[in-house]
Amino acid sequence: MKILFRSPQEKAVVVISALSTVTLICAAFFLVARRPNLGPEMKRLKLMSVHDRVIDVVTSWATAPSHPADTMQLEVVWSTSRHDLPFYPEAAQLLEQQMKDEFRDSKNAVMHYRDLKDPTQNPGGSVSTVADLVRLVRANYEPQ
Amino acid sequence: MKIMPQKHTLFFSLVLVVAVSPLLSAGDTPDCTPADYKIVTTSLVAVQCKEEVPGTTGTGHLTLSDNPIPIGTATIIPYPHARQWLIVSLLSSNGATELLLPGKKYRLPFTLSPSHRTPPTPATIDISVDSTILVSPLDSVGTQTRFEFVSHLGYRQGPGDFCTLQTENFDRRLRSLSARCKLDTPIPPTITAESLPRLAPSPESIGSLFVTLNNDKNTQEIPYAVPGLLDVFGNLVKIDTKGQIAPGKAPASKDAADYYLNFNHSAATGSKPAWTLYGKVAPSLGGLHAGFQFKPLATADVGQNQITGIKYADTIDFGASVSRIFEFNGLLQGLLVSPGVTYETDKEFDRHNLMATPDLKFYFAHLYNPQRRRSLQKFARELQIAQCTVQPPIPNCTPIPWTVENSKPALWGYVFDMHIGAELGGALKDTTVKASVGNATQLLPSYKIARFVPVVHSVIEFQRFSIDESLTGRYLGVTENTVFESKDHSLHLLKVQGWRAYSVLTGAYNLDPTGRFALTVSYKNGFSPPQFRRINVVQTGITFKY
Repeated sequence: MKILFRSPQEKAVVVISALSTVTLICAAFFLVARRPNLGPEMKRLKLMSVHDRVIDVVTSWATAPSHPADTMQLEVVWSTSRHDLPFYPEAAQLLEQQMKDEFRDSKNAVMHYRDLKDPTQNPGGSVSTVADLVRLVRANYEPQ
Repeated sequence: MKIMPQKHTLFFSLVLVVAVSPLLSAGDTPDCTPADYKIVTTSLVAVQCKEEVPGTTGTGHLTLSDNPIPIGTATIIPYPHARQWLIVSLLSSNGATELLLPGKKYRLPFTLSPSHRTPPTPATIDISVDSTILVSPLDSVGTQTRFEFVSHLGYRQGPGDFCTLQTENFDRRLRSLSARCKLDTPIPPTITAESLPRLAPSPESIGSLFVTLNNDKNTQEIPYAVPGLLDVFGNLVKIDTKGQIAPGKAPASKDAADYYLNFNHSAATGSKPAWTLYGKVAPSLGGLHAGFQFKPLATADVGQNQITGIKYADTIDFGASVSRIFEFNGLLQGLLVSPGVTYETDKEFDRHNLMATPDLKFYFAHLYNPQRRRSLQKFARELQIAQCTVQPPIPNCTPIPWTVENSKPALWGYVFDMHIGAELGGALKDTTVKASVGNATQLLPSYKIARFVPVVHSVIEFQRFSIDESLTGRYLGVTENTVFESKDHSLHLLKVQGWRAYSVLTGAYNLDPTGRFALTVSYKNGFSPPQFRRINVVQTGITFKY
C-alpha cells in the first residue's frame, strides 16, 4: 500500500508522530524491564513471617514513617503517604507490583490489585485492612 | 525588648518537649498488649502482641483462670522473624509433662525485658484450650468460595489437598461439600521452642486451614467438621456452631469495571426536545502483565434531534488499551502510560476511522487532593488521638474505638491532572454519508489522521457539589475530511486542519454519599471528532458511575 501525502509538512507530521509513538512504547518497556535483584536475600526472606514481609511491603509502598497496625485500612495508609496518586487503581497496581516482587518465589500470584476494596471504584473488593491483605497473601502464597 | 524573654521561654520549652517526648512516649507504651495466641503443644504457646517485640525476653507464671496459685513457670523468648510474636515455654511446678489440658482455661501474667516502663508492668493473657474456630470468608462478596478456619489450637494433621467440609442443617443432618484444603503448618507432636520458628516461620499460620469449596453455595450453612483435621492433642476438630459460611451475594460490580452512564435531555425555544446518551464501558480484563492492565473500551456520545444550530458529538468508539502506572518522586508523582487502539465511528456507522491512541497521564505533586483523600487524612489524625498514639502523648489517655464512619468528611477537595496523547491512523475507506432528513448523500473520501491531543482535567469538590472541567485541545496535523449537514439538510464536504478544542464543564450534585448517582448539568463547547462540527449545548441529566 502506497501512502500519498499532500505536502512535505503533512509527511513530516506523520513521520514524527509515528516515531514518537514507537519511542514511547520502547521507553515503557525499558522501565518495565528494570527489576531489583535481591539474590542472596531470598533465603532470608523465606524465613521471615509472611505477616512481616507484607507489612514491610506496605510500609515501603506508602512510605509510611512506621509499620501500620493490622487494623489500619490500606486506603487510609495510602492517603497519609506523600504520594499524590489515586488509591484505586493506580496505587493498588503499584502495591500488586511490589508484592509480586517480594513474593516472586511463590507459584501463585499472592494478590491482585482488584482484591483491594475501594468504596467507589471497587466496592466488591475483599481486602480493606492490612490484616485482610496478610490473610489473602497467606492463602495464596505457595513457596517453590 | 519585652518580647525577647518570651521568645527564649518558648524556645527552651520547645527544646524540652522535643528532648523529653521520646522518654514520655517510651514510658507510656506498654511492653506487650496481647492480641492473639497459638497453642503449639501442651507446654508451648506462641503469643502475639499488638506492639513489636523483637529481641525481648521475659518470664511469667501460669495459673488456672479461677485459681491464682501458680501451676507452672514460663520462659519467654522472641519469635525470630515475626516482630509481634513471642515464644512461651511452660514448665510444670509438679513435674507433670502435660500442662495445658483440653477444655481448661488458664491465665499467664508475664513481664518482658528490656521494658519500656519502670518498674516493668506485667502483661496478662487468658488462654482457653478449646476448639472454637472462627470462619472468615476470604474472597469478595461476589465469589464467596474460600474460607479460613482459624483456631487458637494448632492443627497436627490436615485432611490432605482434596477434602470434605461437613455442614449441619436445621434438622441436624450432615451434608458433605467437596473442597480443597491448604494446611501450611502441621504441628508435629514433638516440637521445641528452638525448632518452632523453622517449622512455622509465620506464627499466624498455626491453627489455620484454608478451605476452597468446589462449588459456590446458595444457602447459608453451619460448618460442622473437616474429616481428617486433627488438633495438637490428636483429637478430631469439631467446629463451634458460632461459625457460619454464607452464600455469595450478587456482585456489587462486575470485576473492577468502570461503567459510566449519563442520560440527558435538551430543550430550547422553538426546537423539538432532544436527548443525548453518554456511556462508557471499560472493564479491566485479566491480571497485570509486566505491570500492564488490558482494558477493552466502548464509549458512545450520541443523541436524537437537534436544537437549531447545535449538533451533538455523535461519536461512538470501540477499542482496547493497556495501561501501567509508573511512580516517581518530586514534582512528577506518577505517569500513567496507556497505548491503545480505537475504532471511531458515529451513530449512523457511516465513518470508519482506525487509530493508534498512545496517551500519557501526568500526576503532579500536591495536585491530587480529592475530598475522599482529605477526609481519610483527617480521619488518620483523629484516629491517632482516639487510639492514644499521637505524639506528644496525651497523659492518662484511654483508647476509644474510632472508625471512618465516625469521622466527619472534609468540606472540600480538588484534583488536577494532565494528559498528552496522540491519535494516529486514518479513515479506512471512502464512505457515503446520508442526511438525517431527506435523501441527500455525500461521498466522504478516506483520509489520514495524525492528531496531537493534550488534555487538562480538573475537579473541585465542595460538600456534595462538584465541578469537573475537561479541556481537550486537538491539533490535526494532516487535513481530515468531514461532511457538514446544513439547516436545509443538504450535505457539504469540508476539510479540517489545525487546532480544534473541546471543553466539557460539568456541575454535579451527588445524590448518595459515595457519589455513584448524581444530578448533572453539562456545558459542552467546541469541536469533537470525527465530525468536528461546532457543539455548544447545555445538558441536564442523571449520571451513574461505577
